Amino acid sequence: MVSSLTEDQTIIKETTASFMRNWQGKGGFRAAIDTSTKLKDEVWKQFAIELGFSGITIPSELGGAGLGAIERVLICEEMGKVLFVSPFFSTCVLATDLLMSVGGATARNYLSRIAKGDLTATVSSLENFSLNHTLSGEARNVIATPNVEIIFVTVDDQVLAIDLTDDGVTVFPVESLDQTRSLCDVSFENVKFTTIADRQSIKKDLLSAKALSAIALAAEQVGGAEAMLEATVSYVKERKQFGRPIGSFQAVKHRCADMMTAVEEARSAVYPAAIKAETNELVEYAAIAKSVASEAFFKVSSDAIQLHGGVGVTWDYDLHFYFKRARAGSSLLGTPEYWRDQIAVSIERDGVEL
Amino acid sequence: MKLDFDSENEVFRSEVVDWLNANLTGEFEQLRFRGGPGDEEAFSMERKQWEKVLGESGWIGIGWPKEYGGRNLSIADQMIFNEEYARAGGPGRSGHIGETLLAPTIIALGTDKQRQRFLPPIRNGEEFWCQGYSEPNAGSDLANISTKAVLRDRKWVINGQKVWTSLAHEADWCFLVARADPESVGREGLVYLLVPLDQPGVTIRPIVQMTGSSEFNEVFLDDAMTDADCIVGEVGQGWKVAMATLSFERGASTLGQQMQFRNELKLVIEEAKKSGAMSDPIIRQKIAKAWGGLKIMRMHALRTLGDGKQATLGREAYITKLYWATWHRNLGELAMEVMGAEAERVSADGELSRLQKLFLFSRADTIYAGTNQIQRNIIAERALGLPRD
Repeated sequence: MVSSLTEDQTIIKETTASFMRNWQGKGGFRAAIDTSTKLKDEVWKQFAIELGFSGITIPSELGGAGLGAIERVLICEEMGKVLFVSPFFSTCVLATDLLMSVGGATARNYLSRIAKGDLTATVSSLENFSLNHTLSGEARNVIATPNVEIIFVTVDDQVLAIDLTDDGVTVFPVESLDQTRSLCDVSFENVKFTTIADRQSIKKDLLSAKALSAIALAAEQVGGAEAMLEATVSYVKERKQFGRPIGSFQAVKHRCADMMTAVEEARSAVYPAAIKAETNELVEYAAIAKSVASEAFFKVSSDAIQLHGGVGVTWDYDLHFYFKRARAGSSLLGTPEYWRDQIAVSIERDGVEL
Repeated sequence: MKLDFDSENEVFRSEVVDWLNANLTGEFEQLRFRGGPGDEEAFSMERKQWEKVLGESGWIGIGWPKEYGGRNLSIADQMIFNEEYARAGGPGRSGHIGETLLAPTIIALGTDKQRQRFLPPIRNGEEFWCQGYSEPNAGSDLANISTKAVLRDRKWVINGQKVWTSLAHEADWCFLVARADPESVGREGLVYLLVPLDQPGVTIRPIVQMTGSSEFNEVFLDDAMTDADCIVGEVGQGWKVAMATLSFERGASTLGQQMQFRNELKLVIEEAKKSGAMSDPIIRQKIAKAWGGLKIMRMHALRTLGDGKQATLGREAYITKLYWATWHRNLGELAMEVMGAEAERVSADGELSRLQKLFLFSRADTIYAGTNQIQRNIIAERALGLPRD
């Protein structure tokens, strides 16, 4: 049975929710998109250092909170509700999961810096590259807030760390459709690197890292979908046409019911996936969670626009930011189709046992 | 948060598994994976015998209080029993309507005399029940009941018609809702009566479904009679009692239902492998989606149940019926897709295959026990607080 949250988990959820409300009260993502890097750094320092959330899943001997995927899911869901703009996703999800999965002394060194809140990082894979004593190549569509310091790249069977301020590294900011999660391209010309891992068996670790990160992203998507459902339900209760609230019409009601069904379906997939994160069922549960959460967020945010009518397509209403985040996240870390194919592979191998 | 049963539940699980292994053998072996929705006609007499075996070993009414012959097991253990029962292919239960609907109702709201009269034969697998709610003009609008009941000479005399009455043709008794106050409308003036079916005033006519088989019936009541004390609750409280009956299902059977769905999905996958459809990328996606949906149903059931201590269910509980019914109907469609042209062939003995039955019978899933449309109204109004029409 899914027992309820522990006292500590409840505190983490509530602390995050209150931080997010406060952030939203100060302008939220609209302000974050516009303000200078410096202001964003302050928010990040509070979140990462004062609350200690940058090391949420990092073991305590490395200075982290030593908690797990469950606690991070609670944080991500709250962040997703307000489209929190921060280096958390690239640093504490993508980079942390990669480093934790591949392991090793160098990885631990970086993890302890992330836990302290004094390192922001991101991850990318390189396909066209040349690698001998130095690395050359280009990473496209890298998720990175402007202040990101280190990029971990996967090339074949290796994971390398590169300092973005080093000679030969150029960062090109990319204007992204989803403004709440900024992108850049990074080019490398004969740059030096630190090897984190280099071994044939690394593919399995990379898949674990991807699955772990996908659960966190799925939790964000549940949060985003929940916010869109709430916004829509209150709108259709208020908005009147034909002399009555539009929420009293069955065509509207039924769509709201389907939105809630999608949100609760996704939530029922995401929490258990976090619970299973440290078992050999990780990939299968992550696959289910990421595929349904991505689809739920896209469905619910697009339905939200439809049910808001004309104002739904305006810049002034926040819906489009969620809709764009939903679209972007659907392809990020594996599409629903990619993950379902993973499920099909496991069905062929293991059959279906409940 | 955790997602597993406690170790004492798991001890109980092995007790169930051992018992089923030891007993679902010999003459009962042929009943494995038979009966249940879409296959109720299969081995109906033999399955009633099996009910007696279940009763003798104390597997009926496991959640009832001990004083009524039950074991007072937790919801978690009841879920485990149902799950293992279905995993082993335990025959579709003929007695579930009496066991899971009528019995909890009279335990909670009935009289001592009713408990003494009706519980033991349910508990022993000897008497079978059906539920008389729907009528030709009381479907989604269930409160529009027009069957009349009059108290005359210490007997209730009942006139009217019930419809979609599952397993009435196999049942001994019917609990039904009728209108005692002819002037009343809607939820007022109703009575909840216990009516024996073996009497001249009752005519049961099976409805042939699109599967060609019959599990639902029309029940005609022409001066049908029952004793004056065969009423649960007071005159005028019939609606309240009828709704209470529906509320006793707290999810004990959900894991069992899901295990049956797993059995069906397994057949679909076997067919897909046989026909080559498993290598079709679109079919692979659909199969993976079905499997994901099934896992979600299980996780959702465990989540809804929580630690079993909550007084009320969260809003997520409202999606359960809509979700499983839609999932199951989709599985029926997928079953036909993976079989390709073979899906059309009916075997020489004229009996539909399990997957053909699944395809056709599952069309009813999104209709009975509250249509998908009614479920959406319920979600919108009760879970989301949207205004009523």
